[in-house]
Amino acid sequence: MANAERYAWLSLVAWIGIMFFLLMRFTTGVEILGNSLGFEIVEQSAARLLGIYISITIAAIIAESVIAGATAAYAATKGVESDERDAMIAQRSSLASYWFVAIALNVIVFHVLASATYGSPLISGLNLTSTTGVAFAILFVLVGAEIVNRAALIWNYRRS
Amino acid sequence: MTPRKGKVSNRIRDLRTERSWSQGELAERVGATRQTINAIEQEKYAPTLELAFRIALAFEVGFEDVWTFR
Repeated sequence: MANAERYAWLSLVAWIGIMFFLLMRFTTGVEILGNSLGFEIVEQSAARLLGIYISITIAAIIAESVIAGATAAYAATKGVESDERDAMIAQRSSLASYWFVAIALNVIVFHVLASATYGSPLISGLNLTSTTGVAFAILFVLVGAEIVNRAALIWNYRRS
Repeated sequence: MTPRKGKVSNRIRDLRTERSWSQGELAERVGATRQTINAIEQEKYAPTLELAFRIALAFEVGFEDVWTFR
């Protein structure tokens, strides 16, 4: 297994964990360890939103640093770390996450405009007129883009 | 004029076996990873012209002795 693929697997697990954390903090539904998981957004105070944002940022930085450091240290003992194929696969995966962000942002814009025009939201439960809704939508797209990127890395390594 | 369709094939596995080189050994000689050499051998990945030349140079054979386009 290529070093970058090993990194992608570990990072994918970490980002899925962060996505669960995000869903538990922002939504209602299934309750896990006192946190709820579902698709209905729960309005929260600005201070709590800031706390969630800082928690996610710190968790992401720590997870990425530990995983990147550990995989690089392991690869250093195995000769060449990466080459042109790794660069090509990374480029393709970045393109996949770019498309995810582009599509997600278009859905959000359409949702906002459709909600304003017809009164009924395209995605039920997602109120983008509130701070909570906007924060959730942006964080969801950012975390989702990382998951798509890592999944695309793994898929491209398996395919080429 | 439409370009001819085809596929890049190679004789890396044969040339490597003749010299009793492992994939890792060839990878080290050309500055690539073992996984990349494996992907090239299986024709899942077509290398850049630079790496293709480096592979031919490592075997000390001509470019066309390694690479063919059919």
